[in-house]
Amino acid sequence: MRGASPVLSRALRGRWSVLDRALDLAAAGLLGLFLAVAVPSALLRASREVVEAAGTHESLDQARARVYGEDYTRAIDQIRRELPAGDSYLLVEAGSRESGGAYWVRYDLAPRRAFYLGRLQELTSGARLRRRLPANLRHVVVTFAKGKPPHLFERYRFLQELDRRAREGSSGR
Amino acid sequence: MAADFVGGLGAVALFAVPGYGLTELFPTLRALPWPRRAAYGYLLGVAAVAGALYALSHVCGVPLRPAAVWATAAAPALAGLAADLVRRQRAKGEARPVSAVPAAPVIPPSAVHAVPAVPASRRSRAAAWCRDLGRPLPAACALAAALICLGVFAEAATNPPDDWDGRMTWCTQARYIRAAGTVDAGVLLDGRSFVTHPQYPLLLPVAQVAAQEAFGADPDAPLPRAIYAAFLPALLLVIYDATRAAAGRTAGALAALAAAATPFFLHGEGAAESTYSDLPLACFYGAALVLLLGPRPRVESGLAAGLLLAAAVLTKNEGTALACLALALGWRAGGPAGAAHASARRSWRAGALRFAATAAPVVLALVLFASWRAGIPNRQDEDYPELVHAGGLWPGIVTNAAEFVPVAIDRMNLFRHWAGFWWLASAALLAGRRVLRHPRVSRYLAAAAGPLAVAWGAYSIHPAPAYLAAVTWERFLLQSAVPLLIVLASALAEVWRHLSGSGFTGRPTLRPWPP
Repeated sequence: MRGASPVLSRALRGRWSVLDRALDLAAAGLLGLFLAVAVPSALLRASREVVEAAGTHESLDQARARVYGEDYTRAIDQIRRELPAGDSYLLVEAGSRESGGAYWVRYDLAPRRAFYLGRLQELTSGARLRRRLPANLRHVVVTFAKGKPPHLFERYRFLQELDRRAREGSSGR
Repeated sequence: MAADFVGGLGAVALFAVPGYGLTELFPTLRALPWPRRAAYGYLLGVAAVAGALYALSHVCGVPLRPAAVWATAAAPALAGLAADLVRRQRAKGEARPVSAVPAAPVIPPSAVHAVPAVPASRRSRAAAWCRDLGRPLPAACALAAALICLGVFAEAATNPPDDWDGRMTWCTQARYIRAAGTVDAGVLLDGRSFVTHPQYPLLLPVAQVAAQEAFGADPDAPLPRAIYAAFLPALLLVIYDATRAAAGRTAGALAALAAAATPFFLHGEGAAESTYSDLPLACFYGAALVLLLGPRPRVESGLAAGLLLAAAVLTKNEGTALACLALALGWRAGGPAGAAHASARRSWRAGALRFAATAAPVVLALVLFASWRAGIPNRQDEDYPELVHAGGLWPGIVTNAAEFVPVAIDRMNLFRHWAGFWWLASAALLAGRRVLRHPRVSRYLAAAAGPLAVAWGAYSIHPAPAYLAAVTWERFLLQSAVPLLIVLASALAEVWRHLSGSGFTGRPTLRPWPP
């Protein structure tokens, strides 16, 4: 690096082959092409966003319902009413992990503290789960895929439901 | 919509105004035309206000409530105002008698040669701003970029967050610390509670809380998103500031427009319309580099760069590695090794002073970060130190590449994300390769490689490198946006010089940079 001339124009002086010329033309052409494609597209999208924003006359709840889905937002508001902001809850994930359902519900219910119980498919026995509860909490929130409304259970109802499912599963076998 | 828009502007002003005041204390930034000065000001404002609140909350137990937010924001704004008044008073006093000592020259970070002298009156300031844009092409680029930024801001100001990491990590953490009124929220300290990445640094969540508390915003209001959207114009102006110095006004404007038109920089996961911390990190890192690697760096600009690097440390985990790299590059650029002209060579002592001014805020940020995270049990996170300790770095650094390199290339080829940007970049770097030999360009190239090296290291030890590359590679590219676009603009200016013989600006495009 130290060998390079401090004067850039002098450092760059040299012989230019046909290949160099072709590369120069390719770079200049690609720059023109990139700007010709990307700039109008970005401007169009920006104009659309400005027009949409200017035409929006909605409340916060309406905006949430539009973005997250009406059923989901209604369910979150219902849980927020039943679970005061200082409360905590047990969280169970019924949707696929890739859908992020547990994350979205946790965000929407924050600052309520979540204690993760696991995935619903892995919870096979209410009795076993009762023994390994991380905290003595009254409520369980079950989350599903993105946009699907979460369900709030009393803990004893949720554990009963688990046991009922387990019994049905074993008798079905 | 109007209320959301005004709320968003208020959130941005909460940081931009104190930051603009801070620029008054740094002669290199003070000398810039106001749009570029405002860009650095916004970054400094977020760094100073959110960083101070982070420290006050953790160290002194100051609650994150409106009184603390307004006091923290007012302090730098008033300091800037006072400095401005004192400077004007002195200038008046010196103007009357014949001045005995000439005023110290003020050199903007971008270039000594391009920016006209700082005008005194507001009208001449406006004229200087118009002159700064120059001919129709840069002005058209600026207009297009401004419209794109307005679109991003309008989207952000009117929609609640709907991205992955934003809701999984950053915004959730912001809600926890806002409710608790402290960065040491009980939910973070309780190892049983379900928190993803609880040890991630919280500068941006603290900024969110500051804006929400200052304006008493509803927790569901999209107001914090405006803070992230405002990083886009800051990024573009920093890119313009640096590339203008390196490659000329038109090349600078085109580089900034190219960044503004690249879809991933606007709508990607980690970009301006998201609530990830990658774009803020790109801005802090890039702006610090411009201040450190610009011509004739001064102690004051070293301090400003140090504040920005401290913000980088408190923004994302990889910010620590990037801050160390920037410090090393800054030391090399300012030291005797970087000087080729005897007249321009700075003494070791001056270099050490500048380095100390840069490093001090970084060290303070590292201490704060270490102290804060020491009390937080880690969970729901990749344990990279453990993975390194387990000996996964070698041979993973070679063997894992076969898995993640094709994924990374695929991501860069996604037209809806990059619109062919990487094809352009490859061709331009190949055609303008000789420019990479220049010491300053090669330093920016090394700086651009920093985030990518961090990514390479992470993928080398991760058990699922292809998956990790698929979800993070483009964000690392975003983090290196500023140095990368400086290099790219220099290469394109060189290509133009070959093709036209005159250069983008009508004068020798690639001016000899003072080394």
